[in-house]
Amino acid sequence: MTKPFNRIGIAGGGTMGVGIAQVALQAGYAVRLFDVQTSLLTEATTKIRSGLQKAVDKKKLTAAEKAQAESHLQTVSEMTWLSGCDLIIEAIPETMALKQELFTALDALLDYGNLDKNAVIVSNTSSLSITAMASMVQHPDRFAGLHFFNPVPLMKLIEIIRGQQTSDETVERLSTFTESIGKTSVIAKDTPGFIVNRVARPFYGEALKILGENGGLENLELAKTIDKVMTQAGGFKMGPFALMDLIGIDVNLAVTQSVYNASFQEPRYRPHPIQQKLVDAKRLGVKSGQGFYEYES
Amino acid sequence: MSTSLKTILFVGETDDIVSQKLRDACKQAKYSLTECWVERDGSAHFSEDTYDVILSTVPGLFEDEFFELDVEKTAQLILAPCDTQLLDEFIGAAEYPEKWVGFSAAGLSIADTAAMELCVPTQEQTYLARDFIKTLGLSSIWVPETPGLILGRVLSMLVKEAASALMENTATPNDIDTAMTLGTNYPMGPLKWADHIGLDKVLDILNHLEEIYRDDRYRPMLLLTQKVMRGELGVKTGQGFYNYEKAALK
Repeated sequence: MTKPFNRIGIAGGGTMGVGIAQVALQAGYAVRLFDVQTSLLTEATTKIRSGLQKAVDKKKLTAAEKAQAESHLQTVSEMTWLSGCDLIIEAIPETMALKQELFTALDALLDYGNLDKNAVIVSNTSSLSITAMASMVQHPDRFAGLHFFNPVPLMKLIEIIRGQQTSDETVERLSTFTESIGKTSVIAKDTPGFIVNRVARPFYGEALKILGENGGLENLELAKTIDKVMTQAGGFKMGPFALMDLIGIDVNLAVTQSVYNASFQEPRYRPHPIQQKLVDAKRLGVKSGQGFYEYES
Repeated sequence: MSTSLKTILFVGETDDIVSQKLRDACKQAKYSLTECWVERDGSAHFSEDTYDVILSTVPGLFEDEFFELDVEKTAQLILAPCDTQLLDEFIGAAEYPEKWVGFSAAGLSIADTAAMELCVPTQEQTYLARDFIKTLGLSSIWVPETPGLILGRVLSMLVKEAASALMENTATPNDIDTAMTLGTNYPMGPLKWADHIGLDKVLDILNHLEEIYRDDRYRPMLLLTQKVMRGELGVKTGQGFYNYEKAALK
């Protein structure tokens, strides 16, 4: 398949940026990873290399392919270097002000003639308005959301989010890009939570409500029972409380709050006090050794 | 087979997959089985007789007529469906409330070996119920008495949310289901699951939750209500969120 883009630019060297860079490199793309912190870039390069090595170990990549992939990675600490890219993926922290700053600067920078005249900019946001971000750029028809899931090398799904003005052509190119990196895309309108983070809300919300009505944090045995029902009766891989612990109770709470606020406080998306209480107590789940369950360090 | 329990009165709903799976489980456990099949929202009628176990997926069995007979007196174990009715509501008229156990077998809609949920008021019935269900080749999990019990309730709300996304044209049915299976590892997409369990069943659970809690949170999505009104109930009618007619004709 002809690649829909020539060079991928990634803004943000955190967990998502690193994962996206790895899969793009693995698929044979040239990648330019940008972050303002050079120390983060060094760390990112190490993580990408070790990710590629894991792929070699799993026989997904030959050693030679890994070497070539690594040679296609450039890390840059000046945003101007992203001008040579025709797909730019934003993966910086989830703050609208920061993102808008980046998009305004990117837009001013991109040479919309020559190589980049068909450049597409996407955001990996899980919760902010694509349409609002698109209004910062000259070509909102070539702006969309491209929502990856963590951990990127493992999760097969990508949500392509259409902003109000995203063109069919842009969606088509992103769809082809998704396929070229071995993933499956779904297309969603720019609505709170898109698909996954919206439809999944009751999985946690109802579980928390049942727990809250039956003793709450004083009755954690019920949390275990609920997880048991969802796995042994429902066939889910993990129950809601174990999953909240894995994702991070604070992370899950933030997503819930985001969907709740973006929908102008639709009541059924309201976060539960139990979540807040655990975050207050710094019981965030696996990463802090305790959440709804206890974990050995 | 349990030594003390030999005869079962099974009451199921026609075309309902959970009813069919439960009946099959009773049959292969080789009990002396009396079957009674009822249309949706129907009442069950049967001749007076003595049964050790009464197992019904139809709430309508347990109406006035039931209590006029001696079946409650002679039964050892009565399993009442708590997907759309609280156990308390059933045993309000009961003379022997200690014999009653609430259950939900919603998981059987997609997996033959799914565990059943039981809510049990007494200690003795706990063991009797658990052992009986074991003879059916199924496991059971004790849950507190909570409306819809657990799986049916969470599932219905997931279906409602998926239907809500569909109604707003956020994504196609296929994309919604793909997103939930690939993005969060659900065993089945919510819309496809609704088609399997029956949209009418999902609507019944949401109505029950809304009624008990008097909370708008549980109101069904218009799309769901309309589909049920039009008879688009899922696999059993050939059309739900997806169409099954072409597959059936093959």
